[in-house]
Amino acid sequence: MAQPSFDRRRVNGPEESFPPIFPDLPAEPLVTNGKRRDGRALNDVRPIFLQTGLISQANGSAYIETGNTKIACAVYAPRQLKNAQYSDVGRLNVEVKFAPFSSKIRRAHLRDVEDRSIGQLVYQSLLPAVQLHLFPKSSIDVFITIIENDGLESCVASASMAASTALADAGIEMLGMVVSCCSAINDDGIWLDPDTAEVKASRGTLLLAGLPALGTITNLWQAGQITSLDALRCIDACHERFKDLHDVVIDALMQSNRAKQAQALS
Amino acid sequence: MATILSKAEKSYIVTSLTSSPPLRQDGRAPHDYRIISVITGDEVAPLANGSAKIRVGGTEVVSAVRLEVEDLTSTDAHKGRIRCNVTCSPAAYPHLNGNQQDDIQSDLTSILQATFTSNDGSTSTTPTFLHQMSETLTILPGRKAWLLNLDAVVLSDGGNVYDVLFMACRAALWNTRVPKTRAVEYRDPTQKGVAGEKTINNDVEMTDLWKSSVQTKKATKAADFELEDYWDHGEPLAGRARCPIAITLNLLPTVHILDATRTEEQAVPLKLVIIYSFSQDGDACFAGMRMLGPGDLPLEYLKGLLGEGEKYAKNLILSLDSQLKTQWS
Amino acid sequence: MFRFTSSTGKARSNPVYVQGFDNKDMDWDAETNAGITAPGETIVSSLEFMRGHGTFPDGDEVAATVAGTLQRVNKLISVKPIRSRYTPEIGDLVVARIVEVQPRRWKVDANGRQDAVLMLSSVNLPGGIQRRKLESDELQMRTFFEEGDLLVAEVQAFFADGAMSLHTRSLRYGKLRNGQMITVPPILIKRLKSHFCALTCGVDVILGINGYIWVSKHVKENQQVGEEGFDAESVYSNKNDYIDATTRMAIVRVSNIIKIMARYYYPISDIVLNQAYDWIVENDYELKDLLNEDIGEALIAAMSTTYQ
Repeated sequence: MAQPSFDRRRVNGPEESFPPIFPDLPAEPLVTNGKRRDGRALNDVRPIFLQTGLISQANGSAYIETGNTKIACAVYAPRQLKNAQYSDVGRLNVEVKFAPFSSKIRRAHLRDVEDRSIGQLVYQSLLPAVQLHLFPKSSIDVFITIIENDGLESCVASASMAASTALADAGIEMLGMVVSCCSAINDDGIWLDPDTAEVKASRGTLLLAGLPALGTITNLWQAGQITSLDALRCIDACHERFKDLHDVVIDALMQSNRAKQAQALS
Repeated sequence: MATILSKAEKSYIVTSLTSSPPLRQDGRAPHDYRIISVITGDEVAPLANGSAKIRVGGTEVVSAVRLEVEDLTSTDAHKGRIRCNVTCSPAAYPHLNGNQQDDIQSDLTSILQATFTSNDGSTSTTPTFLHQMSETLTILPGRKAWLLNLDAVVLSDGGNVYDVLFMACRAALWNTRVPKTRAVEYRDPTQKGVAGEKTINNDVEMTDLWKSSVQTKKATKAADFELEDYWDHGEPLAGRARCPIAITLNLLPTVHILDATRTEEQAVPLKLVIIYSFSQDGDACFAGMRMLGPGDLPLEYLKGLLGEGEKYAKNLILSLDSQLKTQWS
Repeated sequence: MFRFTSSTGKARSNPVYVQGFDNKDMDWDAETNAGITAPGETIVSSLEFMRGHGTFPDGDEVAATVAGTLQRVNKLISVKPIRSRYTPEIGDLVVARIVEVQPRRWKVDANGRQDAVLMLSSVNLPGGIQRRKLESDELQMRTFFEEGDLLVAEVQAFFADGAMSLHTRSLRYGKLRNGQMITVPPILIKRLKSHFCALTCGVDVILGINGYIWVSKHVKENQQVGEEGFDAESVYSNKNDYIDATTRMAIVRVSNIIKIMARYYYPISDIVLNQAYDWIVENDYELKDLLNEDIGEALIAAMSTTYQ
């Protein structure tokens, strides 16, 4: 099997090792009677838990859980731009890091290409919302840590929402809250908010991010092979969920505001 | 030469585009491409299995395909696959430092890789173009297959690098010739495989192989392949007509342009990259979508763009294919 | 919508229009052939000549250090390179772009070996030419010129390290708007009496000697700003005027003509541009026809035969 390289900073496993051989269990059907394995309907997203203020050091932070996906987001902003180049609008930096234990296969502790591409997607979703022209010469840093990952596309969607909440928690001026929804398409229909197994079995996936307050779309991403009709249906399916997701995000923000107010008064 | 434009220049470009009739800096119509120069085959990279160089205005991309034999039993692959890589020549982005150039390289590589790798575990019944291509790439089913290395080099970027990159890859895959192989068995010297036959009855052999590869490192079966005579006249890849191409639309609230030059990209930075794959019947399929740059769009406008892009893609494929056919049938 | 070509797109194999140099300036001797030298090539075999730019003594002989044309003035031998960065002279008119804003000065890209410098004291400040510089001006330099702005200026002097110092202390100089910029090799622009050309088609062209050309809407003489009415709002503003469709199309035509000339190494001046424009109108070509290689070739052929 693959030889792990000897790293003297860590406790290394045995030089030669083989994974255990499991008997082939019959694969659980992904959809039974129109319901998925966790009891959701095809067009249901996983229940969301979203709370701000998790990381006290940061100017703003948010923690989001959807199903098995757990993501923490911290915002440090506005800060002085590091390099001397003048810019009359602020710069938004989004950095994403997967925890080594976040996926089934251990990830390297160094940043790799996938971290960057996820970061780019979250950046694209957030960019139109932040009023960068009010922050000249400043940088707005968003750090996202993916603690557990169950479905890459849903990670991006949840990370965008967490980042948007954290930015609001930090008091950064935005045109609206960004919400994001992903979908997978297969022969039996469109599944919203797919997890890893569902993505693997699907023909194609599509992610949509937008600002429900303005009624616009900020990001569109698609992979796999989807016909044009199916793609339009996926986009509509995702878009229908925006209102509910927006309510969840606003609710979380309001709750934390009330908690802060109550604390200030007492 | 990535100079920043002045506000007056950007506003001049945008006003010209939004006036009626819309006017671009070089007089093209909003949906016109610059003149596309296509060179394929031996004039580009004679040692590669397939190659092409596409130049559109100041953007130039060279793409080459190299096939290597992959032993399927020792890797995670189950059949022939494609591996993509994009390198940017330092001359393409002289104003950027090393890290930024690496970022651009990894962005282009990941969009290429994401488009050309199929979802292996997909339970869908619709075959992707990669499924079709894999048939040509198989040598000994389950044992040996061709690994297709698709490498592209961006020599210079004068705007619209995504479209040119995908065009170059399509052209290189179009004139790729997979060497013809013939399966050979050494177990019984009196039973040489028949020429052209690629499948061997290997039920018993497979379980033997499985057991032996678990116990000892590699107990390679003696079953092997050899190149046929005239191997270099090879066969083209099945499904090459379905190879995806990209259409980049630079967007203003009321108008969109194709094939933006560098200066136009700076004045109209919001863009939508749509990757299409067309089946034999002419049905379009999305193989990828990306939204890049600052800006947001109303939903209906976005959906309309997807339909417009399909028309442009169809035209591009027809023209590009007829050009490729005249050069290389 | 999609047009293809299978040429390699390189410059034509015979760009023989290397006419950037006026033969009248050079004093030819029958033996020194007006040829092109390569680096290291021996020019003359005696040391009685004084060596100018582009030469070095190779033992007893004089050899060239650049690929270029030989120039001889009496006893001075020098080699002028075919292609090089723009070499500035005092009094040259250049079109330049702001690259950096520094305390009391701007760093400007004028296609030279180094970035040129535009001092705050060398620009006209709003409120009249005689206005003195205030502290607040130093803090608000970006209200005048910021990164990316294009301006037309004159070379005033040189710094010790060879960097140009520019000034915009005339009403005709300053920030550029209402048009677009084209870049050509600097050699194609000859030194003319006036680099502000008003073409017959209603388009103004500013031929910067550094190879940067600005094509814009025509500004009538009587509409140019007078001395008393030096208004910061208009001079340093970034807003373009209203430009009608005919002028925009003329600007596109002129830009395409200039690009064709640059590709065929044809020297550019206002007479040449007027002639080319008339040729195009006579032959009734569309705007984007000029992007075709054949039409470009035909234009150059017509220019060099008919009008030479």
